[in-house]
Amino acid sequence: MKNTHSKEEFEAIIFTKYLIGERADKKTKELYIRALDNSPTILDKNDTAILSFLTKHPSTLGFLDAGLAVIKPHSEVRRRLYLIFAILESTPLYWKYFIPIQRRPIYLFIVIAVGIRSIYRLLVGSILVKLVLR
Amino acid sequence: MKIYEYIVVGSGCTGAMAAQTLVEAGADTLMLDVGIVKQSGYKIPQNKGFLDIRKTEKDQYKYLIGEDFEGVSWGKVGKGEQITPPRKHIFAETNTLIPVNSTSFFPAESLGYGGLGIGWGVGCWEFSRSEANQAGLDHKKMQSAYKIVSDRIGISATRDSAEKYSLGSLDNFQKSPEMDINHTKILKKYTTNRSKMNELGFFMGRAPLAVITQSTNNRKSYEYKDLDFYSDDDMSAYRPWMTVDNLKKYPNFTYTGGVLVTKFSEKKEYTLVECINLLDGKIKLFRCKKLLLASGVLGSARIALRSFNVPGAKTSLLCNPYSYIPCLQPSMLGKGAEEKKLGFAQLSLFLDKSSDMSDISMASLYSYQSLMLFRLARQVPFNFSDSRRLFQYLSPAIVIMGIHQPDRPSAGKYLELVEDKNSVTGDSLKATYISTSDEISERKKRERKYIKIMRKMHVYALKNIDPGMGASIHYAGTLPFSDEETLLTTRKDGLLHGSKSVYIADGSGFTFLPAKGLTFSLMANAHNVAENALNS
Repeated sequence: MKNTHSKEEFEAIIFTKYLIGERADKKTKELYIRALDNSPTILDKNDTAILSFLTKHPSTLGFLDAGLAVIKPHSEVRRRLYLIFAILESTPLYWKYFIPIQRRPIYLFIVIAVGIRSIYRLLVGSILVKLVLR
Repeated sequence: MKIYEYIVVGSGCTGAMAAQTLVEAGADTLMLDVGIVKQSGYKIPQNKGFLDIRKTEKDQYKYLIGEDFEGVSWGKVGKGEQITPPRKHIFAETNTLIPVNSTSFFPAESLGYGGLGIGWGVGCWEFSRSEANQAGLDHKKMQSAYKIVSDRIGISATRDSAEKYSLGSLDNFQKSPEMDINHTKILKKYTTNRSKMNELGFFMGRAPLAVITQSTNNRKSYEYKDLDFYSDDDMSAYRPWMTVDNLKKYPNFTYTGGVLVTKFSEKKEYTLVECINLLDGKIKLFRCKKLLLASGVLGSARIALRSFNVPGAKTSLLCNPYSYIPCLQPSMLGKGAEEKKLGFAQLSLFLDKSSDMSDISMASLYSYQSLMLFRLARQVPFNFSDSRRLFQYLSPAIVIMGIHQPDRPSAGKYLELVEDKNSVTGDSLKATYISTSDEISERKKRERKYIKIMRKMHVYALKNIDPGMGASIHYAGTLPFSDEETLLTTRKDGLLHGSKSVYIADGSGFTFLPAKGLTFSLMANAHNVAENALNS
């Protein structure tokens, strides 16, 4: 991996952490960089601003992603998250985060909590995206 | 230059069936085809199922999302969403070689070896008498042809409450593959409330499939590996390339790939077929006594429009309106993934509005597993992290209901051939598909009825997704059947009006497009047209 890809490698790390709570393995990082190289895009002003903000403040990623999902669903940031989502899902190391597992009925409460968190992230994220793009 | 008795254009479902009929009758037959084949050399492990692959295969990304990530499409949801990387060659080169310009119609065509049959969902529903008549087809002849096609491709089906909509008179089939738990529960609820459902015009049953459940000489019985979207390795599901591969063993059959047929002209002794040789871009000519166009309804329209060269000519167009509705069956929440699973449509739900089988719409029900969570996550306005957790939990309870609706000709649906200097052929197809407000309101009404009836079975719609007109990949009616000798129409036996020896073996002649998946009927019609050509 070339040093010129350090930015993309860092994105792979924070995106993986955000999506599944794990540290990205070497292959995931390589595939992510290759996927970006395969479909290069010119970042517009807004995408650049959001990418730069979230690399400085990775903890806001959930809010920014949620906000973008309604404000700018086809943004470059979302595309990159989507790419790494697909890469992680097709990596055997992380199968347990994607393949459905038999759950006890009580797990429904966790799912409801995730749903509520999703709405909270969306509300805060919508404001945050607007603030970042100001 | 050799004069072939017959030339068949295209290797898709219709081309394969027409060619088989001709070749088995002893006719000297040439098939002309672009015939793009799969590029990737990466093979899916044959002895493993989908879940096993997901847990163990290091390089699974190569076929699950593609070596070049071509399976991860972004942007608005459109046609061919379910096409996975191993089948991506289905659409290869179409934008370059057969461009379509439109703001209202976004069709999928194929130049692959096996045509659109590469990604066919293998549903095999018969047209009812009323549907066949409205489409301009002879129902009796279609029934005989359905039996012949069924013998050739192998069909599994079940006689049940929906058989009059799905099977008609077909009797040569194997037993249906086992359903998964999700669909077993739905069918049970339907069966419990069957009389009420029927009163409302709904009939549910197993989807007849071109899948074999008993092994034959060279095809293995279906093994529930849940790899139906990725691989044909066991050949349990029929694909037209199997027929073409088999025909290549006959001395009276010749296959020529790498050529794009552009037009024909009729001479005194023969018909001249003009192609572009895709290797060098030069014109290549072939001669035959009779020509059978099976290049898909848009492809056949292009060839006919170029050949007749009538300035400003328009042809009609039919396309099944399609929407798909992810639904949730709460009683399946918290279940784990199923090791053995059927990836094809498991149940068909028919809405017979007038109870006389003349106006039927149809929904196919699928489970969601092998197409993976990332495709689902793209379609909801949530953040990806929470979407992953939600869908991991919800996906065993998800049922995808794909609703197809019938289509009739109207003034706003047509094709034209326009000049296009950037195109290899110097032209492109301009497609217009504008539905009337009555058509749109009728479609919405039907969709609401489907959502309501599913609710009665405790299956709840999450979202209604409209992938745009053309996404059904069911097209017809571009050279419609006509008793009058009008240019760009077809005689009932398949002969193209204005020609002496050109037959249309695909769905271009249909004057009505029933909601049921039409591929089985296209194949039956192709067989009949080939017989007509042999007997004329």
